[in-house]
Amino acid sequence: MDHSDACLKCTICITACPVYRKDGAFPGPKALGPEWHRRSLTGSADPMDRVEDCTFCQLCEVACPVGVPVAHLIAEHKAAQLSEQPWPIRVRDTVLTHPEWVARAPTLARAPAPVSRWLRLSTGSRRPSMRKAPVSRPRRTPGAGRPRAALFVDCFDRGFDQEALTAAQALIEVFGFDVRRIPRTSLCCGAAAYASGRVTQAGRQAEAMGQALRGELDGDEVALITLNATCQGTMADEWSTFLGLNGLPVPVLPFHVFVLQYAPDTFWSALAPTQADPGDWTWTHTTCRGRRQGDGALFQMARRAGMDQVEPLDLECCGAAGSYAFKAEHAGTAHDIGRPAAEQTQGRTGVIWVDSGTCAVHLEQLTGRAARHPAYWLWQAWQAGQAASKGPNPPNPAIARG
Amino acid sequence: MRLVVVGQGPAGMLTADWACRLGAEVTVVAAADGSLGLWSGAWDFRNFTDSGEVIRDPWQWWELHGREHGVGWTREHWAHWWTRWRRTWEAAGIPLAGGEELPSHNRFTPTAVGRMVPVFVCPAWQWAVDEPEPVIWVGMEGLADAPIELAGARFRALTGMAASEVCLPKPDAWAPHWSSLAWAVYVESGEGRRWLSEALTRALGGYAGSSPVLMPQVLGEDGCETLIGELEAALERPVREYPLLPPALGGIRIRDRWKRALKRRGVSSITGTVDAVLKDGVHLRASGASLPADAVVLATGGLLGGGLWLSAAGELLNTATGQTVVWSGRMDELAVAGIDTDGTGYRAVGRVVGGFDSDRHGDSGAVNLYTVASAIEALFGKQTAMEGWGTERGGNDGP
Ligand code: SF4
Ligand code: SF4
Repeated sequence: MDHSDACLKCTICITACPVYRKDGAFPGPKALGPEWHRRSLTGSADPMDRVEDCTFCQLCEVACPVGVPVAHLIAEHKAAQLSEQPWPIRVRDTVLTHPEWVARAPTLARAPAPVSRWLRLSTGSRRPSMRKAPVSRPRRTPGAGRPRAALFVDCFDRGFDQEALTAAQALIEVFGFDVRRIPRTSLCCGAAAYASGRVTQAGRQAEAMGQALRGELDGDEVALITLNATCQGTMADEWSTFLGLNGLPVPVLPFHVFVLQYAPDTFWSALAPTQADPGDWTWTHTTCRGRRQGDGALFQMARRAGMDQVEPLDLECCGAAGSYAFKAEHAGTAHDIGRPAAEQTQGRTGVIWVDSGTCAVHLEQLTGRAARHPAYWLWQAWQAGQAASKGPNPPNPAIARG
Repeated sequence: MRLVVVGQGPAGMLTADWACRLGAEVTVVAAADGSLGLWSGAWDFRNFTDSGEVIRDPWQWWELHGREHGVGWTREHWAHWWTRWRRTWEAAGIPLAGGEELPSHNRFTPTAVGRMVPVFVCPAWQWAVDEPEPVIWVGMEGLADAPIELAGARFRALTGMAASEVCLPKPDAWAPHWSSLAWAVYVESGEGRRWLSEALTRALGGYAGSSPVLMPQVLGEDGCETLIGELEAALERPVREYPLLPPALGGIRIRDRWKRALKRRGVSSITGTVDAVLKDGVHLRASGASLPADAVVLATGGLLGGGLWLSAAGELLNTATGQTVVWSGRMDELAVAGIDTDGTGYRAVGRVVGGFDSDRHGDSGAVNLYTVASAIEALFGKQTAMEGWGTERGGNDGP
């Protein structure tokens, strides 16, 4: 059922919008989404000034009690103003909406200052840099009879955080699965383009990704596991609901959901705390797009992993929102939105577990605390547990060392 | 016990909070945000008789008439649950008006158009008094929800008390689309704070005496108590808010603080629509996943929940459409109403459950309290529900 025109004007969506709460000039989801949509049906679809300031976090849409696709209406609204953008911005957004190019050539993220200024890339928002220290993963050969899982290689991790991918793969193997990383070539699910209102481009990118994944999946995998909440939501939800594409033949699960479901009890009891100091905190942050799945599972995972002092960050969205914080005109809002995290962590030591690479970069900058994907932290805890159990106890047989 | 609570309005949040304190592993499943952002935060006990007269002593009313509504609670039983509720909110950082532990009678609180309506307990930022007194009624140019001339005249006519109307000129940053929430965001910013305190000091310069200043409910969100304190110090008189039309800042403050408190105690939440309650959990529509549970509480009613309203006459209404749902009256046949079950029972809580008519009677707080407490008593046993709370802050830190 199409709920595009179902708005009751209840205003719940605007109470959920992080931009509306920081910027008095932002008209908010109700005006930019359903109200604009109603006008556009009667032919007067002139785009509104500030529509591109929407981060596409989709919190408005999750909040709406009658199922209005608020954020997706705003994406259509953004599409109506693309042709009015100055061309340095168009060039910039062409690059930013093709993260699969950046993943192939990560040095693109290091554009020199004059180029950045011309492209209106923010010079105040930290850009991703390569995670240096490699995670070593015990090699193992595929075994007959072991259940299989596929690990989704998103653009961010392909380009900048191979560590997180290796850690995730190693853990899934510890749970007894054979794991393959797909897709082999760098492709994008379409999330970045959709967020910028390039809906047709998003459809093309999604189609190519879908084809590649279907070709590489055998269909007997337990799940396609993702390390990025936005890609997960895009593939599991948006492809079929908004882009008219077929879903994938296996469930697309966020990493932490998979772990809570498939990690054996023996795994949890074999973990050792990784805090440098027992007083250190573990902060968890479920990204805005991850919230479609709900909130609290990351927190539960950190507790289950034996972290003592766990606290969720008091943020619905950190402001990074994919490439939003990298755009000069949005950097200020992005930093305002995430600032509560800095206040919350101030004066305490600890690390942040967050299910998206760009959010991790943004949160590290705002808080000065290490922010990484939970797969990375869990792998640290597993290795610490293994090291502690060496000596009197034999190493865990779940790992076949190659 | 693994408990699934469906819905995150006031009744769902209260159920989740209490069950978590008593040791359950709680997951809240909700298809959308709850109704808290639409409501100022007043908790009514019972405001009006069946014929519409104002009730001053709701304790006595429930004692005399509770059984007519199927509620057999004694005064002590009500007091137990009202105290629990009060402590629950205070622990979540929601301050309540009225100093004493429990009010002995209803007070009065203003509406945006100058009527004084009964209220049992409301948050401390909202004006509530035993008897009306002279006030300074403040509005702002560009805030259409607060028609102060109308409100002042109404207040004078209805209460016989003096009211002065003061209208602050709009700030430079103002934009025509500003809702009360946008006003609150501005007022809480550095620039907004300066604007407000200067505009108010200037406007109130000529007023002698110490009558309270009634402000539209836009005095910030998280920082609202600080802001009120600053204004009171600058103006040397009490400053309180009167509620506006939605989005309602009172409810937004409560929602955000309460959610944060629940999250820190380990209550998790899932976005989704429950389409079946089964023996071992609930079934979610979109993902097709099942969520294991030992017990399920439905709190899907409310204003927009799209839930079900079981009327006194046993008639089942869909609260979203207002249509009567054809139903035999057996819980296991709720499938016709869109929620399937395999014969497993569940509890329903909230203001639209059973034979209550909260909009007419002004008893939504009491109905929420009664239905949630009854569910808690049934799930954990009467004794635990009365004595199992441990220390003041709840005894249990979640799973
Ligand atoms: S929450 Fe939904 S129904 Fe309410 S104003 Fe927003 S779009 Fe309209
Ligand atoms: S998608 Fe996010 S930023 Fe955009 S209007 Fe909705 S809540 Fe606001």
